[in-house]
Formats: sequence, C-alpha cells, structure tokens
Amino acid sequence: MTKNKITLLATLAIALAVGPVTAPAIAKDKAAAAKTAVVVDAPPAGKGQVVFFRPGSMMGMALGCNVRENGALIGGLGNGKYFIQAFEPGKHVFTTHSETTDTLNMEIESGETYYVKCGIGMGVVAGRPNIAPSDKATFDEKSAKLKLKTVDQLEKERAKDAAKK
Amino acid sequence: MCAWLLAMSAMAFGQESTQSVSSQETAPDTAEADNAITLPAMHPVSIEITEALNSKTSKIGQMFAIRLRAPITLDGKVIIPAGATGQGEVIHAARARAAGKAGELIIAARYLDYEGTKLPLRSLKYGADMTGDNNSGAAIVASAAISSALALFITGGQVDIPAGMPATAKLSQDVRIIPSGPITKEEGKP
Repeated sequence: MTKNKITLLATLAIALAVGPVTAPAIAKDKAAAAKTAVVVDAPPAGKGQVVFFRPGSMMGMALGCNVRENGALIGGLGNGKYFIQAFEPGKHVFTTHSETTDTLNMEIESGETYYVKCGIGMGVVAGRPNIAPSDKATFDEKSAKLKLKTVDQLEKERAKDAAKK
Repeated sequence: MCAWLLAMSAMAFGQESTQSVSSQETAPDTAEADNAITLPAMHPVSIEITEALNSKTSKIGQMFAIRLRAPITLDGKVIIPAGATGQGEVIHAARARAAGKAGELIIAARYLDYEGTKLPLRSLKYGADMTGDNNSGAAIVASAAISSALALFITGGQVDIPAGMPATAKLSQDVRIIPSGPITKEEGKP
C-alpha cells in the first residue's frame, strides 16, 4: 500500500468517526454556546453597568487593554477576559491608550446594562487596543469562553496603578 | 452651621413643594384638569429617526429629529397620536479607520413635544417595531434581549442610519398630559 493510499484511508476513517458537519450541527453548537452564556445580573439600584469584554484572539494577545476614565484605571482586559462595572447614570468617557488613544463616549442610564468590546487593531510599532460599543448578543456568543475578572482583582489592579502615579 | 442651613433650606423647599401641591389640589376644577392623564415613567414609545445619521459625518452632541411612529396608548386609549416630533442626540460618533477600526455611532432619544408638553425619553433601542398590538411591555423586554440599552449600529465600514429608521424608547419620568381633543380608543381594541 502506498503512502498516499494510507493517508486517504486515514482521512476517510476520521471523517466517518467524526461524521459530517452539517448546518443543523453548527446551529446546535451555537445554541449550546448560547445556553452556557454568562448571565449578567441587573445593576445595583439607581445605577447602570457596563460589561467590558475582550474576546480571545491571536492578534495582539500579549497586549493589555486598560480601560480608563479621567485617567483612573477602571480595569485591564487581558486576552479572553471580561469584567462588570457599575456607574452613576450620566455621560462617561472611557479611553484606552497605546500608540494612540481611543475614546468611547457613553451615556449610562439607571437600570441598563451596556456592553463594550476591546479589540486589538494593527499599529505602526505595536497593536492598538480599540474600545467599541457592542451588544448583548455579541457578548453572549463569546461569554462562555471568557474569564471573569473579579472585584478583588480589579481593586488590586487599580491600587497598583494608582501607586505608580 | 452649614448642615443647619442645609436643613433649613430643605425644610423651606419642602414647604414650598407642599404649598405648590396643595394649591393645585384646591384649585377650582376645570374640564381640562378633569381630563388630565398621567403617563407613567418607563412607558414604551415607538419612534422613528427622521434624519439620516452616519458615523463619519455625525458629530458628538449633534441633535437630530425624531417622530412618534405609533400613538402612545394607555389602557387601550390613544393619549398622544402618532406624528409628535422631538429630538435625539448623538452621544458618540467615530468614523471607520484603517487597520480594522469600524465606524461607531451611539445615539440617545431626548424628548417628544406634544402641544407644548415635553415628554422626556430614555432607553433608546434600535430597530424594534412596536406598532399595533405589539406595543406592549413584552415587546420591550424582547427587544432588550436583542439589543443593548443604547442604539448601537456597527458595521465593518461606516455606520449608516437611514431616515425613517424605527426605534423604541421609554418615558424617563411621569408626564401629565391634558388632551386637547376627545380621547379615542386604540384601533383594534374593544
């Protein structure tokens, strides 16, 4: 038996074992992902909240995505991480900085949950973190694979950042 | 001392408010006052954005026109007919850039104007259609599950909101309305 025939048989065996990937199978996977989506609780009374998330990606995976407001660190988003932060209702300006500063203006209303996604774009020297408005559907699709950054972790991170200044 | 002054001013304010309410209570009843209806905060409204908006050309703080798409109803009665106009505001606009940064646009509904009464709005959601029987709390919850609290439109390139785009919002506070004409029943309601 030639090497090519062995390869062909091996491929067929794997295909038979795994079975055909059909559209309903893909839909089933998506449904399963939606079932395991993270459930975000309502914000505290009188406040709104933002779910900051960064889907896992090979692009710029070593880079951080530090989200700030008025220079103060809200939290850093590593690859595949998310955190939830409550805010007073009103206008808020979030920034993330690397080669350039990316700004996101938001108006937060009490009782509402907002979603902000961090992605890493291409820069001249290094990747450029970009924070952009997103939605629940996008978060739900990714959330099962994301890891929560706890309040304790965020507080430690903020204290460390404040000490640097 | 400061706290005392604050307490005194709070008391004075309280008295003023009480007087204001009681003067309303003791005012002679008029036909208008009898007809007054209070639309509760968070009451859903169906609107449309009557101006085209774009992530490249829209500016933060820019006001744009909105219009009441379906009548505001309460207990099966039309309180405010469709067509009332109002304004929204661009909260965030960023054009698409090289290196994969998509256009971004966040807008908010501010108010509708009905015969001189401003109806303050909040919780704008893009694209939800609440005409006829769909204008219910359930439809609002369903739309909340689909989109986020703001109207967010993001594509690979620029974001375009065409004129006439439907959206939903909610009243941000109780609004007292004195209808100018007879109140009609909502179409299709007994």
